[in-house]
Amino acid sequence: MSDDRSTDETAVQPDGGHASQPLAEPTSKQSALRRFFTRDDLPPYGALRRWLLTTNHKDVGVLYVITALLFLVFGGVLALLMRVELLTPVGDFLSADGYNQTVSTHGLIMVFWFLSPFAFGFANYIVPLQIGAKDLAFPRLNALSYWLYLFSGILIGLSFFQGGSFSGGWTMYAPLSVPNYMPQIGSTTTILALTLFVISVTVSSVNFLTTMHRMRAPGLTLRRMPLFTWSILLTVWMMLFAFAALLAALLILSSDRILGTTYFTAEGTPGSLLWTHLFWFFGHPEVYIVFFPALGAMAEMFQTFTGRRLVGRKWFIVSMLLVALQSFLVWMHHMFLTSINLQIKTLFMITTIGISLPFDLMVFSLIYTMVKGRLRFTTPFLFAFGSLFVFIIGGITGVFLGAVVLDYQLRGTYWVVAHFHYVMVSGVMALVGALYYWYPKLTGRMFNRRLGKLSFWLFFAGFNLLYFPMFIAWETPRRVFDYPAELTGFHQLATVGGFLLGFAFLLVIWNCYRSLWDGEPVSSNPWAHATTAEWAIPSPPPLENYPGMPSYESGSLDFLDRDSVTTDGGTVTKPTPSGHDGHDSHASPWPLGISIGSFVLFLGLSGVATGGIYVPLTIIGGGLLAVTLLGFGMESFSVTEPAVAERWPFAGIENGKLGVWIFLASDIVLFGAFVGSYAFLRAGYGWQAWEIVPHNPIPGLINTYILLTSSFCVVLALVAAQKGRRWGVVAGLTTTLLLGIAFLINKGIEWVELFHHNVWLSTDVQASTFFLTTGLHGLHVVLGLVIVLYMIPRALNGAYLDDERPVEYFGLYWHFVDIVWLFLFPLFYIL
Amino acid sequence: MSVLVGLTVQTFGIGASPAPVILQGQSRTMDEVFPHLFSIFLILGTLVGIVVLSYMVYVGVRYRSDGTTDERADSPQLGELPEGGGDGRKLAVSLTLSAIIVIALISYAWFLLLGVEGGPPEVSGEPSTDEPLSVTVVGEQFSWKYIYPNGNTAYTLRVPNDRPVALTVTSSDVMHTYGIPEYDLKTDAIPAQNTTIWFNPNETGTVEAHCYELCGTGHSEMTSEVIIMDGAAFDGWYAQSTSDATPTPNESTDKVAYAIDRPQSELADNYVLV
Ligand code: HEM
Ligand SMILES: [Cu+2]
Ligand SMILES: [Cu+2]
Repeated sequence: MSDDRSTDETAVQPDGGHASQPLAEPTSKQSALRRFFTRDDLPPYGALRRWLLTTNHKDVGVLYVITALLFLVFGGVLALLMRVELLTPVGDFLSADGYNQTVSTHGLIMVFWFLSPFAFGFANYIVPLQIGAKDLAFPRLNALSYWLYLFSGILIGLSFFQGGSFSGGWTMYAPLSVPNYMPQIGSTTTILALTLFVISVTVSSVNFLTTMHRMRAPGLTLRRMPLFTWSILLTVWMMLFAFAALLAALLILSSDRILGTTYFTAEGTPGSLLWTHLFWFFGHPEVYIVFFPALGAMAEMFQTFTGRRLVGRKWFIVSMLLVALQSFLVWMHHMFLTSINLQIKTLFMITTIGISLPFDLMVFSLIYTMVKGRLRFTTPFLFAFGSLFVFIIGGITGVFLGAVVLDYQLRGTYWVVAHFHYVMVSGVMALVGALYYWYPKLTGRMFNRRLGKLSFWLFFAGFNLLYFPMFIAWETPRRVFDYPAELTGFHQLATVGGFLLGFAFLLVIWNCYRSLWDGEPVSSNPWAHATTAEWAIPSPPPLENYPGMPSYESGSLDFLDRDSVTTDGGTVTKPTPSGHDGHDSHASPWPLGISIGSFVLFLGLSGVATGGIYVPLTIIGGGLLAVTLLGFGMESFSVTEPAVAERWPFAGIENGKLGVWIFLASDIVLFGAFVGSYAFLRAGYGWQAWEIVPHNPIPGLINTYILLTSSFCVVLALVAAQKGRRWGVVAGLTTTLLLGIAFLINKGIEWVELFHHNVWLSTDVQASTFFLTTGLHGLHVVLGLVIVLYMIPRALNGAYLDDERPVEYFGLYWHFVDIVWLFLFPLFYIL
Repeated sequence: MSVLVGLTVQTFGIGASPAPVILQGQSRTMDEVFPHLFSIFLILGTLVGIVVLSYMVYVGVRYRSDGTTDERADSPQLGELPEGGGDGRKLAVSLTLSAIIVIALISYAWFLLLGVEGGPPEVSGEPSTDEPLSVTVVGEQFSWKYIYPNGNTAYTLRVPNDRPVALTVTSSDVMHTYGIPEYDLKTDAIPAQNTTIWFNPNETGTVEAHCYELCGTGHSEMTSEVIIMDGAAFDGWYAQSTSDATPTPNESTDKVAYAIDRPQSELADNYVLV
């Protein structure tokens, strides 16, 4: 690529230091490997190095799309294995356990490793373009999200070779998921892979939220954001909270599997109900998380190809907002067959029906947009149109499931399988449309139109041939290979449809691949009537996207000369300290490194309880992770915040701080889920009958004082930094460190004492909840101390004197950890 | 549009029609309620689907571009700020209509739910014969164990056809879901929890119960026989019955063999049996 600009070396460090040294010139003395990973410049597209080092949102977007398509092939092959097995009504192709693994990993891979990342490929590429940003707020974190995603996927692939992958369904119901029933190491690996994926999602959520709330072009208020961007904004908010609940569930499950806690298996406590609550609290929002981006893309394509503005745009957005909020209030409709009572069933029936109505509105809005339009049935529009078509069928069949009595009978059958595929693969259809829609923007070339249309018709026919017969054969129980013989014909039709659909997918991929060379070059805006900003710049866009500063102040998109930007209008932030000339860094080796470290660590953890090779793997992985994290922290990497931007409602805080806040919001849900689990188990057990684990509340009380004092010290350090007193900062941080260590020592003594009384994680459920919840808090303390340890030497060098923000961010985190303890202490020591 | 209005009226019509006399508080079994409600949903759902989808396709064809008159005075321009494209009233009307249909259907469904949830009827007179038979069903990898009021256990469910049968379902290991499709019955079998279902067996014969929640390797084959006996015959059998020692393997494929061979006790040791 000719328009790559070299990056600037003397940049400010995002964590506030100014001690950046220019990287050494790659000399022959350096090893080849070292040179390979040196971040002196962003290499050209053709070079492997570029793809390993890039942090640019467009590159990362492309990586996401390609990787997601690979996982589509993986999940698709698994699906076809099942469809072949289902050709006959008896088990004759896969083994029983093989079938269970196939059904489970197919579901997991399609939902987590294909559908969402596919959408987030476009989100990565398009959202910054649509809002007029040069990149995401934290480009390195964005690359980190991608690499964590890729390696988590490799991990789930490896799980098949560790005695078998997870076989308990994508819902992972407990206690089937604990080692008593599922002893394979591979199933632990699957759970850890998903955990790693969730970490990637959380990092990504923080990043997107900060970007979208703080980096919009002047004049682009929230209400004026394009619909795709709106859909991503709401998706990411849902992700932030929903995935935190899933993370809690997965951590507890991993602990039950690896450490031997008994959350899901203990006598006298409703462990398996606990899982269903945790999982579905995440699981229902997840339904919208996977569908919203598709909906947003559909809206964009409908507008462009009908040549009309979306009918009732405002109500469309309000509907999405309502759905996003309400999605957290419907989870128990997945539990109508459990022991919950009639009142709760009624309540959740009402919220479920309530959430379906905004979708009616959105569907009508899309249909009415076509009226009086000039519809151009290009390939992307065919996919968008087809997607709406099948979504309507998916929606209607979903209403059946909302009617409790019908759900009683339809649950656990192919009605559900047909319904959710109609909805989710409708989303896939819209996203394939989005792939065609944005393909010219991504590549600068047009795909083969005739092949495109052919791929649509095959897709549409295959889809319906695959899933419609499932409605007719709905009496087939779900997740079985052995079904009533009279339904064989329908299942055989479905299998034929499955292969057709698979072929259509391959055709889409082939088309995109070939057209990279054969496609005719396109202008910046190959689709007439597209309105959003990505179409106003070349295809593909240059590295920093815009020729000048995009602005909507005049009522439509203009590019202002960057240097002459006046700072009235929008919100001005204090310019980042130390000189820079506006060029940001775009390459870093550390995201890849951190991900490899995490990968090895998690692989080790999967079997660490069995010893052998897994112990060294854990140690190596941990070490690698520590080193790479340090490298990430020390790297000089420059990102500028736009001087002027639309930032409601977060005008007063800078990006870093907002990022910390958003992260803490998800952490609140994480702890909330842990505390909720404790309360739920204890209530099921009998609140009073439950024995408090610590024999003596005094160590806990002392620790409360220690933490409070340490928070105070952080405040002192911050004040000292503001006043430019170097030794004050050092003293404040060092005292915090010492107090934190005292906290851990005190806790250690308390735990050792308990171990002496033979109270251990796996002793009983009381001990399990106590050790795991306070242990999670302890880990937060350790993490905080690691950060302080990193900050103290820098403080000695005077790093925080003219930019005290890192101290402030750390303080936010530390106070949060402190406040969590204020809740945990009474809950686990006194009540 | 008029079709939608018609549909709405029809919905209310059905809701008020005398066909199923559903009185509040009256007990209804699932096999009375489900087929009735399912067919209503199916008919209305199909109608609504056909109307909406045909309208959509019609609009698609009707407003197809002929490739010449694409650009109009009010066409959207690149870089413009989005404005809401009017037509709010049309949307509101459509939404209201669909809401009416959905809410009417769901309310009716809820009404029927009350009948199902009420449990077996309290029957006056001769309580000795009409008192429901209560059986506990325990799911265990990979068979269904039935515990009768007299304490006997069996792996085949035998029930009389002259009185209601109430099943209390639980699990001794992992989650399962117990279902008898013939009677439209289904409920979760959850460790340490009880759920209940009930039905009125009528025709004598043998039907099958199946597991509907993935519960491990033997899930696909986790079935059991339900034998509906003549009332008198049942009483005779019941008086002489003894406990089955082990699960009777069903006649299905040999894949189930490993399931039965698996040491149950070893796995289930830590788990409560309610
Ligand atoms: C492309 C997007 C797709 C998504 C997001 C998706 C998602 C899922 C999910 C979540 C499950 C449930 C797994 C479980 O019960 O644990 C599932 C099951 C299944 N899927 Fe897909 N799927 C997709 C495509 C396909 C395709 C292309 C086929 C057929 C060729 C297919 C065939 C099946 C089958 C046979 C099951 C098993 C149903 C059961 O027994 O419960 N799926 N899918
Ligand atoms: Cu849900
Ligand atoms: Cu089962």
